[in-house]
Amino acid sequence: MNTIEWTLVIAGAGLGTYVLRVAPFMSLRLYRVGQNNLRFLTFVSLAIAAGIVARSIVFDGGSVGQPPELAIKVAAVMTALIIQYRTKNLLVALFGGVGVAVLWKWLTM
Amino acid sequence: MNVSRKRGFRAGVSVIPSFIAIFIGFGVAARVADVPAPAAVLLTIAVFAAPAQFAIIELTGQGAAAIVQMIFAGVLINLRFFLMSLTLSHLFTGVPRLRMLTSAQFVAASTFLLTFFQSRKKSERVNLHEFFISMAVVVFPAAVVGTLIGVAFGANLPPAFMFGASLFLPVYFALLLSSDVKGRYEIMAVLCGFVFTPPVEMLLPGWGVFVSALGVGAAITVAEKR
Repeated sequence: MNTIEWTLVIAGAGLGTYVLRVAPFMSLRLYRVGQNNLRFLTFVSLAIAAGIVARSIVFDGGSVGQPPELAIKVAAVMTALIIQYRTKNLLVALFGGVGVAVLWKWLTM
Repeated sequence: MNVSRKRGFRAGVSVIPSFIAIFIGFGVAARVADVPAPAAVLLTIAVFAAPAQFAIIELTGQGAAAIVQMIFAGVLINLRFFLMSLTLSHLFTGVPRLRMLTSAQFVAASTFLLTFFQSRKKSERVNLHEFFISMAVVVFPAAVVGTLIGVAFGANLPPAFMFGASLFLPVYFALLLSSDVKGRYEIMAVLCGFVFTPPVEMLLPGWGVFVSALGVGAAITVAEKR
């Protein structure tokens, strides 16, 4: 693909995505739709967050991850949750959970 | 620096490793697909959504004939941003519309969710728009830097490092969910989102999170109203 074709793709995808992002802030009608469905939007937001966690654990790129890798990811999340419960410190829990995963991965490579 | 900016900045810093890892992945994939380095970086700046960017470069092999398809694939995958912006429009009260013209470009899953979680901390008086922008100031450059690293030498980075970096985002969200969810309907939304996303993702690759969240949201809204 040449430069002009790439420019078209970047501009088209960028502009289309931007319209999706900006429209709810600009349109009063859309704003009212959101106002009438705030509980729905709250549930969707929570489900998106949970879905991102689940997808990251189960999938490795585009395919389902291998069981050993899955175990490491589950361990990372569980360790982080336990550290958070014990210390009430989110950053310590975050780095603790990821640290355990990196160490486990490095030891089993 | 005021409290809102400080909190936003801190939230952004927490997800930088994930952003860099995800966009290194994109940079590597772009290089493999023979996407010119400037095009890969500009795609990150213009689209700022890794899943859509992956979908676009996957079609590169089909050449110029796939230009329209590439644009549509990218935009369709980003449909979720519409819902996220709709939610954020109710959190950013009193922000002039013109200012939103620039802020809207930074709506992404993580910037949206972290702002959403911050909005639920009623005890903390935080200007959510300032929080959001301060976070974006940190994560947007991280995405660009990640793409550059990926294009330049992504293939040479240690696998354990890449693996760990990719875990920051899901672990962070798991921690936020564990401390934030209130009431049985919200717990149900989280559990259902967690359980249904992987099978839906298998059926509809790239759409699992969005489609299952919509279904879960609708079902639980109906259940709550009964």
